[in-house]
Amino acid sequence: MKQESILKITDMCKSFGGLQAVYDVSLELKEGESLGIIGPNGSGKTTLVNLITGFVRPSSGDVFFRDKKITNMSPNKRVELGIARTFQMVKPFYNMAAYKNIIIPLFSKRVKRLKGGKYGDRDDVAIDFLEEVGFEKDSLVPYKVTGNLPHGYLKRLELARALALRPELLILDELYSGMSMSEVASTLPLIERIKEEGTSLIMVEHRLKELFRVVDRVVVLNFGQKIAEGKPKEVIETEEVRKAYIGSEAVTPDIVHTEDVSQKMERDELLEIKNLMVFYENAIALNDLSLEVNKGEIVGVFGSNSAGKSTLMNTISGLLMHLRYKEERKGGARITILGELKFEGQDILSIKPSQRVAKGIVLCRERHPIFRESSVIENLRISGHLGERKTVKEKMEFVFDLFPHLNKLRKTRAGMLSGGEQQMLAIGIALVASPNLLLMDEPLLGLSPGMQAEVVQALKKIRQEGITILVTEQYAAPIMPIVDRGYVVESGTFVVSGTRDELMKNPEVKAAYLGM
Amino acid sequence: MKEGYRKERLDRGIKVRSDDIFLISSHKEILYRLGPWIISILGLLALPLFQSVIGIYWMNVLLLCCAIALLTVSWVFLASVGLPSLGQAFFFGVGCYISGFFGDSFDWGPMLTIPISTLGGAAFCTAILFPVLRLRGVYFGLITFALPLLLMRLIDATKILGGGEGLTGLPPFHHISVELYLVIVVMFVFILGYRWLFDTDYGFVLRGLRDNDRAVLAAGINIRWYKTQAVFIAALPGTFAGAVLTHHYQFVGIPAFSIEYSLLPLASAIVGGAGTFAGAAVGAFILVPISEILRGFGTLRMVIYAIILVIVTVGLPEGIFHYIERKYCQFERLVSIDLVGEKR
Repeated sequence: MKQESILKITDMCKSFGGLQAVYDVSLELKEGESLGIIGPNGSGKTTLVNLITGFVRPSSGDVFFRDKKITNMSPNKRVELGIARTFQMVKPFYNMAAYKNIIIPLFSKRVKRLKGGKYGDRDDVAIDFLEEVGFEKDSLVPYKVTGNLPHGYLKRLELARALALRPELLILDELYSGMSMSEVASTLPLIERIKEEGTSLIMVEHRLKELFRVVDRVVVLNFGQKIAEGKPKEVIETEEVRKAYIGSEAVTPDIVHTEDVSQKMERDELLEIKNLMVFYENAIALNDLSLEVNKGEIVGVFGSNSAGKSTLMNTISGLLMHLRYKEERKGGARITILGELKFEGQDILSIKPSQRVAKGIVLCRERHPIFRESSVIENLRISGHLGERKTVKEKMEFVFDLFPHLNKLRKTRAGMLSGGEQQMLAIGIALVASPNLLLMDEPLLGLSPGMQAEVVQALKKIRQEGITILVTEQYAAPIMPIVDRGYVVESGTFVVSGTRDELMKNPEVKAAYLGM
Repeated sequence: MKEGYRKERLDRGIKVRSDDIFLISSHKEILYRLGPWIISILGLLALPLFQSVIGIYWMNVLLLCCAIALLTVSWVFLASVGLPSLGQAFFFGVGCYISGFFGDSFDWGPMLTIPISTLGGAAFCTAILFPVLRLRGVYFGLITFALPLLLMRLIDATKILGGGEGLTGLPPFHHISVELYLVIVVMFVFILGYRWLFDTDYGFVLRGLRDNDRAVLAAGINIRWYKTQAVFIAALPGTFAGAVLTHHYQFVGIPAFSIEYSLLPLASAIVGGAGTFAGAAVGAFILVPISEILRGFGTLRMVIYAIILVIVTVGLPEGIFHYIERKYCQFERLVSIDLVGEKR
């Protein structure tokens, strides 16, 4: 292995307003080496990536690429040198066919200059790249409009777009967040091969197991500062890192909910779904689903991307019906919803989302949408503005009890919060709307292990308040200990269902959703 | 909709066939595909032949239709690269004044000034807009909205280029048919040319700019340079339309920058169906005649015009063009749900 440095960062600082996002970080990457960057949400990992790739200019400090100073170089010039990146929040070109996304990097100066880069027909090359990252061979998927693809494909599209630049330094910003187990498994060999071919690699990741298979060295960030660096296994053992990243006590395993609520309580049906079918235009999204949720339960729905989890949540919350009415007004609805949806014995399939909220069905959507320009307390107030003042106040107290961390951030603008804090706030917003049934769509998406444990703990406390929870996840392990019953959904149908223990024993579920 | 049934929308067989290699296999498919284009091109080209029947007034309206269609096509192009403009009058007025200047000072004829003002005007507009290309969305729109108003006041106050009175007695075209054919042909060149351009690899880079310019930047492409090129390409039809109308009226004055030339293209694009170049032209050919017909209503004209606009936008939010296209390419039917279940 060559030992020249490919990338060097010296004393890098960056602050946004009063927030110190990255403080005094220095690191060096050797040619062909691969480096992992880990840290809790909001520790400055993405900002560091943006600083390296030029999307953000540092307040102080320098970036060197092969001993050439590139601190003031524009992002596209850096790509010409050979630095390619993916985005954590996918940024595909939604309005074109998937393979056309790859045309754009293939059109760049860097690729045109490379040997063989002046392709006559870029379409074929683009499809080759897509197949390389795991788009089905000889299928129609690459020709589909990007906006209709599920999230896992978009993530891989992001990777293909970076690979098309034939980078010398590849930076992957949380590539695996939002990917299902099988998608991760299919991309890992590719990443390993890229590394073996001599490409230097920087990976920002929360999935430590997968990360450690690839990287030689790990840097740990916390509050924008580098707190540790070294061999993966050694770094994660140090006390400081455990504290900052995994959470002070190893929470996840010992919060197993011992008493089985579903058996102790009388079966009191809260939500009942019978033969639910949902079509998007001519494609079937949910096929003959039946599900029931009893009062006081936590029910989990597990499935990979595009299995129909979000569609199910949006159907129950009424957002899908709302969309359908909107399309009908525009001239021709493309969504069809059939079946029975009962809440406390009443048929609610055709009533408005707002009326469902009044009945107590509250959805906490995936990727925690919040009002970014308003402060934490304002966010909660907006959510509670229809409720009685007294109950809203009580609910808010409960939220701050639940997440003492949010209490400290009352006056902070919500957009400035880290991913984990935003998720807490999103849950808080849902709680203030006084739910009977709380729908949570992938609440753990993109959170660090420590944060995940905190959210899971919170769910447990919410249930103790008498609120029923229906939660979806694609990676079941962290949430499994608190779930009473669960369903596994695959391409719109439930394939397995049962109590927690039954699911935990099922070998297929173990492999696909628990990662054992 | 009955319980157990759902509405299904399917492409017509002929549409599917003509999308594929079968396109060249039978004249029926070719006709299906090219028919609308051939009919509209031939129809427009034939109109000037019936000048004596239709009357010179409607020939002028036709010319104005084409000019607004050009401005609308230019707007759609800019919007498609993520630079929504609120000031198409800027391109139009610059085209007007450059051809007016050469016609007035050197007495050059339209055939000389039109190419000069089209290319030169587009270059001028690009140079002026270059510093604001980093702005996105509505901020870019605001600047373009302000620019024509600024130039209007500048010319009025400094009394350059004829000041408030404008330049009169510019060299005319030999015959109105010449300008009509010129404008109609150029309009189709731009519509078809833009369509072709957007299907090339270069065009996909431009489209990417609208979806997400940061992702284009991450793909190693200089977005500022590409946006500059896009503005130049989009300015061409605008300046061209301005130059032609200047010689048609043999006059150029500060009304060239009037807000009407900014708003009409915007309305046309929305009524016709935003996102397609042909739809933009359709919108212009609907709105301009309506506005002319309504002249008889005097001051009430704008009220009725606005009501029509509101009705169309609420009733057909996808735009007239998309509605027609859907009916042309697809049919709808009710399918029983069990049938689909069995198929799977």
